[in-house]
Amino acid sequence: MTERQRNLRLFVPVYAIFLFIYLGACIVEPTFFTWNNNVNLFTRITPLIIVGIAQSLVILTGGIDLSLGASIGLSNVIAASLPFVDSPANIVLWLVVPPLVGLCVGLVNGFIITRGGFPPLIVTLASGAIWKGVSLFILPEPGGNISQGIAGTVTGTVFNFLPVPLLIFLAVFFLFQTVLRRTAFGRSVYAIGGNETIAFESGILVSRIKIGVYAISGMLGGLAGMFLSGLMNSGDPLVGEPYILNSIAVAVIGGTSLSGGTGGVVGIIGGAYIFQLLNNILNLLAVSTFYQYVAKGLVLIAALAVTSSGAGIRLGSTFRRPKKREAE
Amino acid sequence: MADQSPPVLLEMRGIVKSFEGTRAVDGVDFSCSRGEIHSLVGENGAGKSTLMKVLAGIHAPDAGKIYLRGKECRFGSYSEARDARIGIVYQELSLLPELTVAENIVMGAWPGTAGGLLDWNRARAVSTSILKGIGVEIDPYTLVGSLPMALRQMVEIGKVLSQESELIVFDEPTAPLSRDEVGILFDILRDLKRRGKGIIFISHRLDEVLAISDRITVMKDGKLVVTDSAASFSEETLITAMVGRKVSEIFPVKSGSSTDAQVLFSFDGVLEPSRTRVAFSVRKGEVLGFGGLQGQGQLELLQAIFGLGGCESLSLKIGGRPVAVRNPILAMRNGIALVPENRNEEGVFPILSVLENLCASTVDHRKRFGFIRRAEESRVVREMVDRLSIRIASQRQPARSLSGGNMQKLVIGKWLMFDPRVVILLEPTKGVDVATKQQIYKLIRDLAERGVAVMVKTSDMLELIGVCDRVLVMNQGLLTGCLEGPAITEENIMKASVSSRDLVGAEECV
Repeated sequence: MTERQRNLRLFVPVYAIFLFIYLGACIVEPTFFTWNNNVNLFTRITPLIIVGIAQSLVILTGGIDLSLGASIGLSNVIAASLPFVDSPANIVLWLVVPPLVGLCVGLVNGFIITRGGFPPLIVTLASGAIWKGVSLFILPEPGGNISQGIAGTVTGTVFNFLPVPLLIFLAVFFLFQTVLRRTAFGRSVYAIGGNETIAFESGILVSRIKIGVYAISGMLGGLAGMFLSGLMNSGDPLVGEPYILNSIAVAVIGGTSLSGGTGGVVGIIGGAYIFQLLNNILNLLAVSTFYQYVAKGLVLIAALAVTSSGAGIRLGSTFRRPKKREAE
Repeated sequence: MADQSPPVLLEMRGIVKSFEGTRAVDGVDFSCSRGEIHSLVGENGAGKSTLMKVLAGIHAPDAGKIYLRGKECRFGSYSEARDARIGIVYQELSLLPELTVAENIVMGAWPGTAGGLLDWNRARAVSTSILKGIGVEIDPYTLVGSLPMALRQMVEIGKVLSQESELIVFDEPTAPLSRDEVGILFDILRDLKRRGKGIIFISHRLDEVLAISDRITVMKDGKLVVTDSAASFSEETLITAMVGRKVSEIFPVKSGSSTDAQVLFSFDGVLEPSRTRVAFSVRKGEVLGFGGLQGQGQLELLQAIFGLGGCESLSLKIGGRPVAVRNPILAMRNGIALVPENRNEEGVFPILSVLENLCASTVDHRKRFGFIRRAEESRVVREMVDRLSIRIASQRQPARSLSGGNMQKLVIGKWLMFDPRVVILLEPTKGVDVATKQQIYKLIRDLAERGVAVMVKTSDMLELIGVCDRVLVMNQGLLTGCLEGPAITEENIMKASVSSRDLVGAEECV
């Protein structure tokens, strides 16, 4: 099996399911296929894609980032606490500070995890709790303000046509697709997730790469928090909470194996869409909340069964030797 | 060029390395010149691997000096050693199965472009030319995980060569290889030698060591026993130096069971991958060996007996009674045990204790009111540890702290716990030292004498000849050889393993 074949196997199922759900929705509910609804979808999906990419990077190294919610929340409340009078200086401030805040959250995680040798699950759970507390201290209730200019831009269009959220998520997606595929950093991420000892003995600076991965994850959390502040025109310390587990779900549906080393961000857009479309459709169909949860859970498991079958082979092979490999 | 630089590439003097009080390496001198293959042999735990890890900068020596090209050096990590052009082909392959061949080869030394992006064309070109240099042609974009073991080994060698290493350590490279694959590897080694590289070769297969080496160093208990030119050793003197025992003591006396002895186990089925019918039986007191080139269906056949599939219209009889074995649990209930080949992946639970490992498959046997009787458990474990003479400090010791040989005994012990009637051993002495081999052979013979049907699959020719009463040879899913008694010779086995005569079809083998 070559890399190309593996990649096809990774993302074809995700996008097939996405198309299936999308087309199904268009048939069942004609209003679904309107431009407005699609722009609405772009907007809702952007933070999901950004954090999905963040989580994928971390999971690829064999770790996990449960502090993503807190880095979103913290950067979100800080963005909403910045001066909100339209001026070039303020806009630059709004653009720079939240991602930096997220970056710091991630750097701290990375340092504690690599220097202390602690499990990422617990370290990020703990740091997530700390930063959530700090966010609540800064902004106890949802509120704050974002300057009108910024809020207008985030939800606006370029050339009166291209929605800004679409551009944002495409930019982030292609950036990280390139980082993973075409940089030494990206390939090292896979190597570490595959086997940390081997990676180290092959001369990869494992700690540095891992710190980098958590820092990027935090920074992307900050970016998502910033985007959400512009979208909602205010700050909310708990805005990031649902993204903690949703980011993991999106990463896994997108084809990244929880045991690390396989997957990537190719499937992320499909994964995020599957996730978000379910909400959208169920709302359009006016399904009651109880059934919405049940339906969502069931569809997620079904999607997982199809998209992450590659990860399942690993588990099976511990008992049954991979005979096919010898036959090849 | 090689002839201009000093001939002695590496010199290690008085190396000492202790772990928690035990001296793993105790004042060892070792050297290697350009264009020389210097082998390092010794039992497991003799300190070979530790010595090489000191060389690679993975362990810092407590005392002693390392001179490379005449200059003293000290490596803080493998990256530093690699920069000094020392390369290691590890025993457990250090490749990442999920990455491509090209990625594995350039890993850690990624070729970059001016823009900071990876230069895939160069990575591809580099790996293709390196692999071609050692006579292998693989698409560099193939995932390593989908390659057979022998090719992975070649990729591993390619990885080391890509770093332009001058001194290359081969740490048991032949363990996973079949005989003709070993031949290919040796051609590569000889070629590297011609190119003036220094090669350190570690192996448990002494015939290989004697065939390839210029010099041989024997280690025992962390100390250097002897260093001499390969010509001055024979297999016997090597073993004597390693263990202080003679060869004739290694293999136990065969039982010499007769053809009309009672049939304990019989097999008849069609192998799925090759769609060939295979039938055979095991007689009382007999050790049945499976030989032939690697991947000719032996593994599928033996796994099928343990209920792991791979065989159609399978009919198994134990003691004349047909048994249905659809999965490993049914297999175990019918008294079938399979000791897997890959003990690290399938045999032991590394972080669980010796006791927990030994009892893992028989927990149900020692329950009262749903609770495990711990005193009973501890007693049977003590018995098994004694029976197999597993060297442990405590029953509560984690399995990963045991040496390779003791770990293998642990795996075997786990399966003997439920008194199986059929025991299948896959490569039972892979990567195990001579003394442990001897104990395992004796155990195999004991089992056969107790009336257990014993089947052994091994790629070690000496083992087939020395241990088995009868050897079945397979080629492309067919049974092409059935050798017994004095007919079990290396020549006959090789002949049968390339033959295409179907003995089952010709009804010559039952």
